[in-house]
Amino acid sequence: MPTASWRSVYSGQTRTAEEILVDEIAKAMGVDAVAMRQKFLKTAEARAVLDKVATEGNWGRAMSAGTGQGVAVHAEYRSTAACLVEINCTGAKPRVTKAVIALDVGRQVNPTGLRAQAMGSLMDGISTVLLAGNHLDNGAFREGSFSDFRYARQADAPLTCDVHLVGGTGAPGGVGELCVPAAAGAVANAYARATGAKPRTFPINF
Amino acid sequence: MPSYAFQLNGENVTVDAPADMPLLWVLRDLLGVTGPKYGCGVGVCRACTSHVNGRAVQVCTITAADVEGKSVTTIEGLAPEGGLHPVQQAWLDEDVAQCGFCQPGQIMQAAALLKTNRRPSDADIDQIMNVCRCGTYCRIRKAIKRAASTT
Repeated sequence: MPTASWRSVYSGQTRTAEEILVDEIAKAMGVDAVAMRQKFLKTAEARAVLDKVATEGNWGRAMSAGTGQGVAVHAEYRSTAACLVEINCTGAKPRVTKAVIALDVGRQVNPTGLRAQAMGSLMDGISTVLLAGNHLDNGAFREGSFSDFRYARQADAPLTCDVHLVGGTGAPGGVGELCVPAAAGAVANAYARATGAKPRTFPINF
Repeated sequence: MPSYAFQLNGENVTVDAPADMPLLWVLRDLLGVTGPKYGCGVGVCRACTSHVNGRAVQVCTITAADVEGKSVTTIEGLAPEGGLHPVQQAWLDEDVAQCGFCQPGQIMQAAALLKTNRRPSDADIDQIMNVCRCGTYCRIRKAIKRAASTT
């Protein structure tokens, strides 16, 4: 697993791998993916943000073939986030259609800035899981610019993205990278649920 | 060095520039108009998006000769005197910008879209190819819809 200077550094990759396996274990045990996490998450903050996205995002609602929901939770630098996304895999390429994010960062200094960081992190999660990779072919990068480095653009962004700030007490934590792992894990799990695939290499849609 | 004359943000300008110099550099380095940003230089990031005769153009991909006698509008010339363009106001109301680098191009693209399509659908907005590495797309969508509803 290559890691380098990148938003959330290693957490986006490792958390995504963990969250994919949590979903697969839950499925093997016949347990709901949110219920499974609620049983094993260690902090009240993590359980609270997960409960928030499950409620606001209508977790478990009936969805048509080729579409699905996914969730993931991440805690780091005194902050905790959960993300729920819905994905549509019936078109030419998967499209995250909806996102619900909840975060507890302790004291909230700049609420609109917190929401902005969550939305931006979501786009990084969508990009790295579904779309964008650098490929080194015999010493030269295949991708030359934004024409072929397929980072998320408007057509890859969900039509709705709701960010809920919960908690709000205690020392302020970090938020700049917090939601990348939660978003990436949620996108991978939504893709798995919509397609039946087991994501193992990324970007999935390359 | 050849000389070129065109209208820039409502004023007639004449500039001596190398024939192969991208208009983006003519604007930024020779005329001091730095709203259009350099990202890729090949018309794919679209941070330099400005208007030529009212249509969105990536000015890194054309030269001054291409706008000879035409009207060029950059983000500096979008708003009416002393006010804000409705798209700029919507951008403030939705608090769209994060780092802000791509935002002049995003705003000029949105303004050009609304000029020809006063009520753009989600599918219409999806056609916008301007890159935003901060990932402000959700707020861009909301701001475009807000601007559409106020004009």
